[in-house]
Amino acid sequence: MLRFFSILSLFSFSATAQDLEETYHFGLEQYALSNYDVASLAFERVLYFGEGHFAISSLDHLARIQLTQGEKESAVNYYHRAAVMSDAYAEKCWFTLRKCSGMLALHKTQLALIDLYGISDDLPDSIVYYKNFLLGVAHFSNLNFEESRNAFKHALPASESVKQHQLDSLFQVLIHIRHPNPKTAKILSVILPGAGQFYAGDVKNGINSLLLTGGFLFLAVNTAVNYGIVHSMASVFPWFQRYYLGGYTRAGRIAEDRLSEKRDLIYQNILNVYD
Amino acid sequence: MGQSFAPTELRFGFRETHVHQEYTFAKNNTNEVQYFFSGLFLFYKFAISSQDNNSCTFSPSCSEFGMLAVKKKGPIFGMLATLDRLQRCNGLSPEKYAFDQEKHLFIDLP
Repeated sequence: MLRFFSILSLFSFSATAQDLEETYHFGLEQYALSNYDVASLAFERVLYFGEGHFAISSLDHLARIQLTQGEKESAVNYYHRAAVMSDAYAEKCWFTLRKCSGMLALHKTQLALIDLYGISDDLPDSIVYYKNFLLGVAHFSNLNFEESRNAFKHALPASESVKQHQLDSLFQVLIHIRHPNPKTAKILSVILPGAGQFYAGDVKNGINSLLLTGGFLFLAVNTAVNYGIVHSMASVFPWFQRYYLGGYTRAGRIAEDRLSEKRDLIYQNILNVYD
Repeated sequence: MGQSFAPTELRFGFRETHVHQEYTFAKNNTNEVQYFFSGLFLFYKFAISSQDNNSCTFSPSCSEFGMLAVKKKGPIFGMLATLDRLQRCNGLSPEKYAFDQEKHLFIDLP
C-alpha cells in the first residue's frame, strides 16, 4: 500500500491539468469533427474560467453550434454576450450583426432594425456590406421594398454590375406582384361566398365556402317560410353569419398567402445573388 | 468573421402558415373506433371549421381536444371529456388556465 501511494505521489508531481488554451483547442477540434455536444462542454468550460479572446471566440462557436442545432434564440443570446465582451469596435459590430441575423430569423424585425441602425458605417467594407445586407432582409420582411432594394444594392461593391443588375430585375418583378389582391378577394367573397377563393386560385375552398354558406342560407330561408322570420333569425341565421364572415376573412388570408408565396420565391433568388 | 452573407438561418419564408395545417395525430390510428372519429374530425376540420374564424379560446382547439381525448381515454370517456370542454370554452375563467404567449390562447390538454 505504501509503495502504491509512493508511486502515485511521484506521478502526481509530473502530471499537469489541461489548461484553458488546451481546452479551447480541444473544443475547436471537436467542433471541426461536428461533435457539437463535446465541443459545447469544452467551450462552456473556457467561458466559465477564461476571459478575453478565448471567451469571446468560445461564445462565437457556441452560437454557431446553437444555430446548427436550430436553437436561434440561444444563438442570439451568445452573440449578444460576445458583442458585449468584445473590446474592438469592429468585432463588437460583427457580433451585433450576427445577433441581428438570428433576430431576423426569429422574425424580430423591429428589434433587429434598432441594432442595425446603431452600427456606424465607418467600418471595414465587409462589415458595412453585411450590415446593408441585413437591412435589406429587414426591410423586405417589413414589405418596404424600395428601402430593401437600396440596402441590398449597398451590400454589393459598385464593381459588381452583373449582380446589381440581377437585383434590379428581381425587385422590378417583385414590385409588380399584386395579384391576387387580398382586398379584392375579400370584396368578391362578400358579394358571392367563395368568389374570393376562386379569384385567389383556391378552387377547393371556394366550392366549400359556396356550398356551406349556400346551404345555411337555404336552411335560413326555408325555416323563415315554414316557422317564421324570428325563428329563423334565432336558430339558423347565426350559423349562416358565422360561415359567411369566416369565408370572406379566409378569402383575404388565402390571397395574402399566395402573395407571400410569390415574394418568398423572389427573396430566395435575392439570397442566391449573395451566395 | 468572414462568413457567407446568406447563411441558412436567413433562408426562411414569409409565407403565412395558418392556412394549411397538418393533423398528424388524426392519422396514426390503431383501431376502427379511432378511424371513425379521425374521419369525423378531419371532415369537420377541412369542410366546416376551415370556413370559420378562430373562435375557440383554448389550445388545442375543441375539435383537436376531442380527437386527442378519444385517442387517450377511449370513445365514451373521450366524448364526455369533449362535452365538458365545450362547456368550458367561453373564456370566463382565465385564472384557471395557463396562457400560451405565442398563440394567445389558454392551454387545456386532455
